[in-house]
Amino acid sequence: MESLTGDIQAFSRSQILWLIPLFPLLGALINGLCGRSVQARFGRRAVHAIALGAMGLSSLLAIVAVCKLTALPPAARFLLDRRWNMLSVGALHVDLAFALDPLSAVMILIITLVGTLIHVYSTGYMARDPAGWRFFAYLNLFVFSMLVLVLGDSLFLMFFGWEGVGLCSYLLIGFWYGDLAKARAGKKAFITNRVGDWGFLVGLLLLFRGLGDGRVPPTVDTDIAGGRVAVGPMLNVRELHDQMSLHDAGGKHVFAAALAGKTVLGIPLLFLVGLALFLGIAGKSAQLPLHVWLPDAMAGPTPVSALIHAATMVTAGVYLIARLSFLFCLSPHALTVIAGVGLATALFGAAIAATQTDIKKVLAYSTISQLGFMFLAVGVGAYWVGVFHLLTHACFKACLFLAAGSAIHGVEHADDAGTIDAQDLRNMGGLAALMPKTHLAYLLGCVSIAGFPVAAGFYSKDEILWKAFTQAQVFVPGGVLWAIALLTAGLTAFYMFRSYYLAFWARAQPAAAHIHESPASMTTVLAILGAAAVVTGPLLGWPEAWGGHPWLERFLAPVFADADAAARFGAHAHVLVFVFQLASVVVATAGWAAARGLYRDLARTEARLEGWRQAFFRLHRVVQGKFFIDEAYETMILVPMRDISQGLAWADRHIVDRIVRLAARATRGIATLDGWFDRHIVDGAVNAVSTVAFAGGRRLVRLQTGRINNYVLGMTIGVVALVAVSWFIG
Amino acid sequence: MNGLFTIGLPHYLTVSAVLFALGLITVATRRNVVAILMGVELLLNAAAINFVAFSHFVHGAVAGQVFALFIVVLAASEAVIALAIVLTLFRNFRTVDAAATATLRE
Repeated sequence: MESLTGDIQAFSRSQILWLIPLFPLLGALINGLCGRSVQARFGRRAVHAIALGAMGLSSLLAIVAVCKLTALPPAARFLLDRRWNMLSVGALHVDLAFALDPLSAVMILIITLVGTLIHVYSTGYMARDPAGWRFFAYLNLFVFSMLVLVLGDSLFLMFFGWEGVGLCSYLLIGFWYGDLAKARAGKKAFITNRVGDWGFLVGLLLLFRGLGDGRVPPTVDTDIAGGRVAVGPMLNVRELHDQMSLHDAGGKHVFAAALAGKTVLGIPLLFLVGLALFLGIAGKSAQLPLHVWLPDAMAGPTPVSALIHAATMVTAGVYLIARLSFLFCLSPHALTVIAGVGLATALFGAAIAATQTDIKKVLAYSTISQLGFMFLAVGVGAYWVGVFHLLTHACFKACLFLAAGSAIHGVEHADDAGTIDAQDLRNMGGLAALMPKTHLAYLLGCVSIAGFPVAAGFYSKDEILWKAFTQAQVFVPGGVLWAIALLTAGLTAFYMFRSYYLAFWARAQPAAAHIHESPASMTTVLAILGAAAVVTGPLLGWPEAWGGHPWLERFLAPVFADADAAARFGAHAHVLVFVFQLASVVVATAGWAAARGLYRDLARTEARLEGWRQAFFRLHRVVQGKFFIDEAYETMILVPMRDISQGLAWADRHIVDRIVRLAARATRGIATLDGWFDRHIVDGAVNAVSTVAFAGGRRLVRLQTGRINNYVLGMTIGVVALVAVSWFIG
Repeated sequence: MNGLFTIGLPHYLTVSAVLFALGLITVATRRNVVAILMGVELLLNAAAINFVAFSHFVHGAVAGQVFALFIVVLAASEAVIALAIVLTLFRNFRTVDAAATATLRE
């Protein structure tokens, strides 16, 4: 074998990584198994203490681990905590092992810190719910699954976490399962995700199969400087990365090239892998066409929407692409699909969000739209920007959701009769003076997401726009991507400020006397997240054009080294950056101004809005109806499925059942014959034997007189006879 | 004087045979268990006489005498056990009639 070299990921051992997911798991187990009695005996505080304690310990360990990681030199920032071998089947070896690199470091900080904040918030939000223990058990279980997803060192563990978060999402959406609509929403999320998970699994299997290459026997190790590198089919991400980076003296990446050269039915294998994985990603991250579950998922408690359906779980898809960037970068076609779907989803979500009247639906579609932005970023090859937007989005969207939750909480509790829909923007309005802290937090979130340079959203979103414009690898001109993204950004500013004005201004609140600010546990969290929604942007991603070098880019650079080398961006003058940033600000301002003009004071603008609604009746109905995608699924998939099911049920009843009955009857007939044979022939033979033995015994018993004299006589006669016989024969 | 009246091996064997026949008849005909036991004693002693006689007339053989001693001891222990059985039999059936105790037959 020729000698190969490559950038093999250096790593250090760690013993604490496994503890990070362990504590939430313990919390979930304790609260899940004995939470009811704990709550009954020691009160809610005990349940809260268990859940929060688990999160606190986990956060602490996460911070310690990340500190350990940053202490290493950049190229060697990789901690590995291998516990034991879970599975060895053929070429597949799966360890229970956790890995921490800069990318997963960012993720676990988001998960544990935002997660802890949301746990704190939930103690206030769920204070009246009798099943609080169940809620916190699910929430802890979710954090556990998410941490396994992020920390798992192999795709196998990631898949485990992937399914785990899906399960927790289902459990939490349907948390109030007494309400049929909510239970249905949970089911919908679960089933839609099953479609995606199928894609994920197909992608993994295709990849695994594709790696089983004829070039090298799968079990042979390749000797390279500094150790041995396993090659062949594998699911371990680090080893996979090492294998892909192996190249010969001529600089040819032999394994990457072999994988990239594979085809299935004439289609490049990697493209199929990318598409299949993206199907899974679209399911989990609510991208077209599998986005339908996320708006319905708002049926869950608001902290759940903030944690799972905004900050963490839905971003798992972005994380997966970033994690496998070294594979995705080998297939520009797959990246084109990802960027295209992401951009389409961004525009689509923003358009729908502008017409929704439920505040959580607005935020849900906003999340879908922002996730689209992230996929646009990773699709054009700007992986760190995708992760950057993920991070800022986690902060400002969690802030927005929790502020919305606080507002809903306020309206809900003012309405003792429970007659109004507290989430409906038309029932809100005028909350600014009543809930000043909530109002401020929501405003900060809006400013951040709308993209004003004072807050985080601007930095990440603008970087995405810039990368989209300069990219040179996706088969769509950068200018087109940029223009659509800019339009979407303007829409974003519009719909966010629309919801802001409708909720907090717009009209005098009819129930003003009963509405008051939420408890401190909620407002404190809002304050922290509001601050994070502002400072994370400039702190982590001060633009290059402004004389900085984004910290996050430098931090993540080792992870994306290979993918960045493959990504191509055109060179453009820096002055263009300023033009673009100015354009973004102008668009954001326009969006804000439009929203302010239309919704600041509804009394004044109501008539005009109504007139427009009439004029653009059809368009409005289509957009507000979410482009009738749910209905399309209903008619195209659900109804045919139901018809097919009914047909199959008929076939079951009339054909299968008849066959079964026939078989039963035939069996009974045969059994009757068999029984006759048994009774008359087999039993007869047995009885005959016993009869013979019995009759023989009856006759022989006469010999046994029981008299000693007879026996002695018999014996004597026998002896005499024997002697006589021997005498005569003699 | 090797005549009819010189006591020799045939005389002993004759006595022994007569004794054996008497014992056998006793055992075969008597219904009293004690009588049967007495018959058995006769049988044993007939055998012992045989042993001693052969031992005396075969030069240098003492094994027969040893056997005779064994038989005496054996007869004594047999009598003990047999009488114990007879006592138990009597206690259970209030009789020592062998014909009346054939309950196992049924």
